[in-house]
Amino acid sequence: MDLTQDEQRPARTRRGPGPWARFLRHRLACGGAVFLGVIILAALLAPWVGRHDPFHTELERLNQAPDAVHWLGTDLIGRDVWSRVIHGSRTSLTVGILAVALSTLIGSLLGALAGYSGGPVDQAVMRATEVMMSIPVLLMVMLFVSLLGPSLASVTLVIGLLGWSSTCRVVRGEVLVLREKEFIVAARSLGNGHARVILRHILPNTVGPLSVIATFGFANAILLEAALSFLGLGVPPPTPSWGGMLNEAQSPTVLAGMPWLWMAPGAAIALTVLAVNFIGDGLRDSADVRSL
Amino acid sequence: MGRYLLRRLFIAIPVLLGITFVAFAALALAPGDPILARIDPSILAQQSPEWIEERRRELGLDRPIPVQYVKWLSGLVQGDLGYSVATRRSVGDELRTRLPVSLKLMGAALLFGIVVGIPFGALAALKQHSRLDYALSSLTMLLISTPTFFLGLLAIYLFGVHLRLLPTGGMATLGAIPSLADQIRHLVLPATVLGLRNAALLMRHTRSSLLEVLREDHVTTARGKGLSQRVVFLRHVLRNALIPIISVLGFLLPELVVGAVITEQVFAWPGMGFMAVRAAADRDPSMLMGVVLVVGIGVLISTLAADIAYAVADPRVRFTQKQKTWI
Repeated sequence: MDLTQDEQRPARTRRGPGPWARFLRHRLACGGAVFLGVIILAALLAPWVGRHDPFHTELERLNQAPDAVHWLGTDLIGRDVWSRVIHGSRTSLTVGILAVALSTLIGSLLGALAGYSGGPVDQAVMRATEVMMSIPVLLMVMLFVSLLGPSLASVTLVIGLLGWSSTCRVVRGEVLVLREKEFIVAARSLGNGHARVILRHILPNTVGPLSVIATFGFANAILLEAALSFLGLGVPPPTPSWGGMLNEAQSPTVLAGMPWLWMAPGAAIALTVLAVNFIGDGLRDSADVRSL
Repeated sequence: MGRYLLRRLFIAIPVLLGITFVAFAALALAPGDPILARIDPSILAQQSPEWIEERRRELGLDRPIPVQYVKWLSGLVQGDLGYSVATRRSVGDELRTRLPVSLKLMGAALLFGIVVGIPFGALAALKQHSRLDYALSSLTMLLISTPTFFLGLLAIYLFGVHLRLLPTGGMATLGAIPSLADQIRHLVLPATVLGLRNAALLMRHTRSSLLEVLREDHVTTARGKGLSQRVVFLRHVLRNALIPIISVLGFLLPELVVGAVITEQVFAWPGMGFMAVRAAADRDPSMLMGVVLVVGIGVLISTLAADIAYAVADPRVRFTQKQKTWI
């Protein structure tokens, strides 16, 4: 940790525990991390954890209630629900990770550019983020889906391409403070170019807030994918996705008579997002980021 | 104040243009003949090819994209939103009938959010670190993490299917004599489901805002003067803590819109969101363009109103040029 960063922190944190120790003290965040770890492991080992083929239809076993063979029963066309829930985690995590990686990349670069250059560039980027914030991402994604049609790739791409506004604002705010610091002035006067200063000296110092916002962004991306698939505009069938499984539950007979079809995927979304949000809370407290 | 107001309005102009630009991009990128989205289809069907070519020239559809945009924008200012490619109805008419339906749901949900969220948030802050605080905080986190549609399905399952207490779809009982009581009964479940998430968000913000004010020196001073807890809370804490909530309210609208799209789908509430989902499924960009415009401008106005209200309530905002960063 360099001196310039320490100066702005209250004196107690210098002697107190570091960010990692503070995160580990956050019990809910640790619980969330463990739960997310289990979900990731289940996604990686889905063919074994799932026990059944998520696409295989058993015509003699339609709409079966949960039993020893099919832990969560079977759906309308005889597919194993447990296996589909487990495989659905792959969809949620893939969309979440890729989308958040894309939006973090765009947001941090644009934010750093805006904060570092100031002036008209800053104004233009800020107005663009305000436009993005005025139109909810779900609506934007619906607009693009109406143009491109739903697919796993288009959903991921569009969520990633449109979700950068909050990252951009946060990084810009950080950079506005950082660019006045002595070590940045020093880096400049040593002859480093602007691009190098931004990439090597400024962006690494925004990792704290960036990790917090990316974590919450991950939770949001999972919720968005689920919402889109629920609306029938996301990942198209037969690919198992948690939101898509709830889409099938909209018919009154399924809703009332076969709760195993929709309660498990619904709970899976809620618990995964909850775990990620707890991690985000823990990161925020340990990285000492107030404004988030 | 005048200067601040002017500056704030001035900043909003490029954002407004940006929103129209996004909406226009949807039309420009749409496959198919663009004239279908611009001229009343019933008129279009009866006219000669020469007449259609004439209109095409008038709308600038044979000219470069920037020219098309300007022509489209001047039509938009006069209230011409074009026609749906899928349903062939006027986008403006459709929005005019759907918007009030959505606003009714969103208004009820927002009211629920404020009435439940702010008092419980204050309660959690006053009893910080108590069991109640932990229970309320965990509950808000759970509500924020649960997708609206799952919450909606659970509500239907519990109150509609099992307890048979409330209707679970539509705005009124079909075939029954219209009555206010019937309409309110239909509103209860969707408005509560939509409102819970807002209540949770407001609770979180109210709690943290109150905690911040409670730590401030002037509160300690007020207590030190010997004022009663009640007076300290009402006069010195609550008033200051509620100011940041104004801007939270402004930022709640996008959340509310997203929630409404989903809630309307779950409860078959025939509003703008319900229509938007169908338009997306029908690959109807010209209709979604209208929804994006209405929502974008609505959100812009509400954030503007929140900023101005904030500046009225807290004069420091007007005098410091520093921009608030909210996410």
